[in-house]
Amino acid sequence: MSSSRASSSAVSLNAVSKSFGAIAALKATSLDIRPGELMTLLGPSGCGKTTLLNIVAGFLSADAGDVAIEGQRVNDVPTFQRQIGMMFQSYALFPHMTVEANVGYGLKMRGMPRADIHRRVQDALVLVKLQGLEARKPSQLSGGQQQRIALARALVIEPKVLLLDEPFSALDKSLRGSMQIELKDIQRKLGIATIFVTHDQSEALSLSDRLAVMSEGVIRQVGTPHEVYADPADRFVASFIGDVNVIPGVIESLDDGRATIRVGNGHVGASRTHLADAAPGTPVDVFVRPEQITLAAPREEIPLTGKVHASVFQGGHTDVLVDVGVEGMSTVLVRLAGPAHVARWAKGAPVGVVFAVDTVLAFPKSG
Amino acid sequence: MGSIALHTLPGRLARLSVVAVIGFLILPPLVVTIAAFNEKALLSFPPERLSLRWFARALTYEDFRAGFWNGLIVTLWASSIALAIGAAFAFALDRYEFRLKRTIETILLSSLIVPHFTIGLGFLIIAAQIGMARGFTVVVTAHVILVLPFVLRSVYVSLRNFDRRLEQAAESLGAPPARVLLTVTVPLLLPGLVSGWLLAAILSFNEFTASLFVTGQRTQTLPVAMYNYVREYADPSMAAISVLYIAATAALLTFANLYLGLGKVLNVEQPR
Repeated sequence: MSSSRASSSAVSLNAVSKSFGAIAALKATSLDIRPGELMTLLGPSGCGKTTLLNIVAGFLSADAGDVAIEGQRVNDVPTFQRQIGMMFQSYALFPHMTVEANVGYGLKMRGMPRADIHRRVQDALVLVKLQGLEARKPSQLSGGQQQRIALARALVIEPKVLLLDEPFSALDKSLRGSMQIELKDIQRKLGIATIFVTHDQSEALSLSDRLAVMSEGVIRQVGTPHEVYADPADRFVASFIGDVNVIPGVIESLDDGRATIRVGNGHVGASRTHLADAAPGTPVDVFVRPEQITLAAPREEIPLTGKVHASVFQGGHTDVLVDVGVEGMSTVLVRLAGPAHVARWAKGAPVGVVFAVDTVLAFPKSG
Repeated sequence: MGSIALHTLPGRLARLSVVAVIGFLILPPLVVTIAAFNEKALLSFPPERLSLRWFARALTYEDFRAGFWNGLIVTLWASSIALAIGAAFAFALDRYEFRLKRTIETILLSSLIVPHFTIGLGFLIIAAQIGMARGFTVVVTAHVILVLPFVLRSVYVSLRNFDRRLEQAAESLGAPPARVLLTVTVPLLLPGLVSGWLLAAILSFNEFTASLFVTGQRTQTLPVAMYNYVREYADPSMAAISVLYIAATAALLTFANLYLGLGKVLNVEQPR
């Protein structure tokens, strides 16, 4: 089965499913990873992202469906013949081997002559900017250094696909940001197709070419970070990606493509994408990002009014939490650019919340 | 904070009990060691004059020499066979699900609760029944059964602490299963394997109760030879052998620590 579609993909998953006993970890899932692309599998724990990665790696076999790497069906190909490079959450460096032996391990397994291994290992260590530690054991390295070694070890074998299993979760927050940028640089430079598993949505947004948002064994949406953020496919994606306020409202009127929704004493427009079957009078949830709303002095005709609960200075922006007296929600998060807001919106100050955009997302009320 | 004031009554009692425990641990080998240097043919204490004659006697006495070599043969075979069987079963118990798994595990560990003389007696009866001479086969088999639980536990614990992702990493780097085993699994389990083997060897070499039943004149091990000696003589050569025993075991463990790097390997940062 090497259709033209499959052969143009670095990795192709076709209706792959996997159950553990009675639990369906992965329901018939299809996904294509393009050559050179960094595809993120994003979702909460238990969503099936790690199962999917393990199926691509060959550590798990799918109950049904096909997995292809560069157009070749690999369902029955054992891990050691799949030509993958994998970086583990714990790095899984061999504790009894030196850095040099760790990085050279895959080349040795391929029967490469010693001198060539040495040269390639050096090149890989240059790539991850970590030379001079060849004789050390992994336990003598810092977390960040171990991660570079793990990356070098996975890349030196020139794999067809690079698999990353939550590689940053063990790092300090300060180190994480710079390592992410470096990883992305290396990945782009080598043009290697990469599957990156994470539960951290900000990591996913900043690193991915495209991402697949997963929950309960299903891919909810595949798209670029911008698409997924600006145009989420469903409630789950909308609430999982980025900060979002969920504000109750009621559909007031509908016309071709647009709905007008009453929120508190005001109105806001919404696309009808997710309101196909709705009628006027239907209660809905308005999903609005903290940067899509702003604050004003309270007056009539304003959607929501309340009191400032807290103003948090975040450097480049200010997060203002507003207590609104609306049933089913406690506070609204408003993100204001610039530093001058903390003094203006002091705790306890009466305030109005207004929409800063004319189109927001709305979903029918759940349950 | 955190330390007991030593002048208070509980403090004194605590200090006294520590001294007592250490004393009782050190006292027997100490007394025996001193008695071993007694010049007279008595196990009296303290000796009036010192001599090395009982060491000479212990080292030259024919039954002890034979017992030592017999014991060594039995120990090397028994602990090596137990290691192979124990490691294989530990591996199976850790990695696979199969029918009667718990039952098999219980049976493998059962010699911990069955008295040694029962095992010795059982083997004696079986050997007699099937007309088998009391040769080394019976002795080694009995010893394998006796030390198996210790080897099994030792290897099993190492396997439980082993990070399977290291094997997955090796696989992902292109290592076929046999190479994964040889280059990653076995080297990392080596401390567990070696300490299991050592424990088995020490237990087997010192084993007396079951050996008494299954050894014959030709196969008697050192502890059995010592027992037979004590029934006839009560001179300090027993004490001399004790000293040699302690020295040999201590030397073996020290050697293992230094040259096999047990301590070093055990200190390797365990991933997880």
